[in-house]
Amino acid sequence: MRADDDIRFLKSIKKPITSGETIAMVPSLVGTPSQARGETMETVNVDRQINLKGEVCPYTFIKSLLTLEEMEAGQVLRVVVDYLPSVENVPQSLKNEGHDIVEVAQINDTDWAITVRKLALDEEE
Amino acid sequence: MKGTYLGFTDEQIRRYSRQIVLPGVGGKGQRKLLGAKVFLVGAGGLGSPAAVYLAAAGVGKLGICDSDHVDLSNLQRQILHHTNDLGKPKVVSAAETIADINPDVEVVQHPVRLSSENILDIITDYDIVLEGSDNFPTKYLVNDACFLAGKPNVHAGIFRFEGQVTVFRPGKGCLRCIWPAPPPPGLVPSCQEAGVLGALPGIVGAIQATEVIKLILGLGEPLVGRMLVFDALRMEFYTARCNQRHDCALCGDNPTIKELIDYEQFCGIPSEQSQAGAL
Repeated sequence: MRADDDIRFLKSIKKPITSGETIAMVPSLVGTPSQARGETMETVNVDRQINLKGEVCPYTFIKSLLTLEEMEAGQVLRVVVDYLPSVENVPQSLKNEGHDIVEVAQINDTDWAITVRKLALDEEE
Repeated sequence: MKGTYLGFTDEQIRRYSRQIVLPGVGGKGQRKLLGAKVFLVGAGGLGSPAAVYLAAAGVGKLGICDSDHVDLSNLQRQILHHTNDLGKPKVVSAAETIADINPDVEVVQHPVRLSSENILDIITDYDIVLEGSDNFPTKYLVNDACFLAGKPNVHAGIFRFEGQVTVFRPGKGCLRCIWPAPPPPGLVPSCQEAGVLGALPGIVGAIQATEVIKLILGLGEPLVGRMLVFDALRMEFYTARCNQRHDCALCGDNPTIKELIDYEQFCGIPSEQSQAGAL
């Protein structure tokens, strides 16, 4: 299963990533629009960041969704989580909603950052 | 993680999480539900499941209109009321049940009989009307009042093993487009005489609640211009078209009904009991 592969991939990354270092990417979750634009963390402007440490699924996803609702299309949200299943589930669910996953990266021993761009087409009436 | 998040309490995010994640709902939709005001005609067989699901979904204000008291014969289908509620006004019993389900919901009790004198003043405070009465005079009164007041009317009726649901959106058809006037007294037996399968209003009332939620959220295709008919014995649903009629006396091109009408009660039971009750 692709999802299992992703989790194994994430778990295999032991080394904490410090600022400026190469950031881990989850191949199947990272959206092609970002890749097509050749974006990296160095070129992406994060418009908003939320700290969801201590939260579990599905609330990590729901709070990410609620935050994206308040943002403009094209803006970038960075979500910090420390619940491992959320590292897979949140990007997958956001991608299912049509958002563009820019990056999923481990930022220290316990925390992960999910960087997502709000989809350009607002589904609201 | 106590506190609030973007206007929701953590408890609300948990309570409504399964519908916030639905496509087309989200936080914006949940806020629409929490800000919505729905008026339920009758706290009986149809009003019970409808009120329970609307309350659970977080519809912010539910007006419940019923002048009846809880009777033992109600409990076979009217799930807002319980054995220890016997004798209580139905609006009180309903408000207590709803408070137990969801404290986010404000219940406004209307322990009155609807008439041409009071209905327009009452429904003006609400966005949508859910019609679950047990008699034709009330169904026609609500139909006419909703058209005149410009309120969507989520209408239903049940009889023995069969139910019907439709949505009357003002200007898109009404009860009189289907049946121009109530049936003559004595033609249709009341539920007291005819009986009703308890789970039937459960299904039909839940469909009404679904339609109300769709209207609030602006989702999907409401049952406008279509009547959904449910036959519990055959376990079949079918829909019949019921478009607006240009010759409708209420909503047609040359309307003749411009004021509300209080029809005589004719359910074969004394009028004080019949209009008060709900299916």
